[in-house]
Amino acid sequence: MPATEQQLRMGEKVFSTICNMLDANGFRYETDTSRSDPMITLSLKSDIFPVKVIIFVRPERELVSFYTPVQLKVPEDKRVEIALAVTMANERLIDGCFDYTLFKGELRFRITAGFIGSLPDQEQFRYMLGFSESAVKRFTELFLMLTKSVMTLEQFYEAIAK
Amino acid sequence: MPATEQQLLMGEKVFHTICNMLNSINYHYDTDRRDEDYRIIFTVNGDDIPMKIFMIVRPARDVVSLLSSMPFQAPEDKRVEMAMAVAVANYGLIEGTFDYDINDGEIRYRQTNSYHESLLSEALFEKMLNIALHWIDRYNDRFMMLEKGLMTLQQFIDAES
Repeated sequence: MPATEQQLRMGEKVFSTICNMLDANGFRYETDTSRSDPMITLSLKSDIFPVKVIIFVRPERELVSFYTPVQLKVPEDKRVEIALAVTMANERLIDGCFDYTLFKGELRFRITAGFIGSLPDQEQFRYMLGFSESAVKRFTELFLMLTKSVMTLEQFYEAIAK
Repeated sequence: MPATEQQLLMGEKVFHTICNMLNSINYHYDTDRRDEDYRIIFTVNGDDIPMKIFMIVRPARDVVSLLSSMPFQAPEDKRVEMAMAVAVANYGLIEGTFDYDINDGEIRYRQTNSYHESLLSEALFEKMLNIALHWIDRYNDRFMMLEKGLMTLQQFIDAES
């Protein structure tokens, strides 16, 4: 169902709030407002691996989604093991989750917030960005070690239980 | 870290907003408080399996969590299969996620909405609840059929497409 006029206006406000938050914190980003769900992409600095964040504002759902792809392609012989590791990781999270496709061996972190009848503050989006970054940084290295057989599933479980 | 005074005030407002929402749709619920967290507990009858819902306001983290455990656990011989089914289900979700404990086979739906320095509406929580009920109702019987051996993993995957 397409967005109503009111949802579109709210979506624009939310989009601006996110951009203002990124500007206020010195982030560089790109936007694509030609889509029905306007998109913002940015890369976060990291010493270990690049962290790219894709933000969608979905007016018709009154929802903001932050997706952070994990820079890792799981080989076929490790896909079941990583599926188990992903369930272990998700269980430790209070917000957001790792999505995993068994067929492609791809992982991404997803965190969302609704904005129906509410105008979220910049602080809300700063939290979502920070949470995404810390979750991806915390788990990517562990997923990678598991994929390369440097770590066992039991060791993975012990590492995230700390 | 304990919640600040401001977080506690905000948490209380959010708690009342959720209660008002539930009152407006005539849901019966119980409430209690665990340390700083407010808990709201109620049961919804779905198409097949009743859904017990916990909505927890966590002032120290400025988040509301909606949790609902499936009323069954995957037996040991089905736990790896169930983990794969959970991964398949999660990939199709836009909001919320199914958490899965490989140790005891418990599956729990979790949906979170944060409210950092933002005042959220009753409508937002009603939508949060409706989305959660939709996904739980859609998947609880599929997970149960897999758990009981009435559906194979491949059939579960096929049902997704």
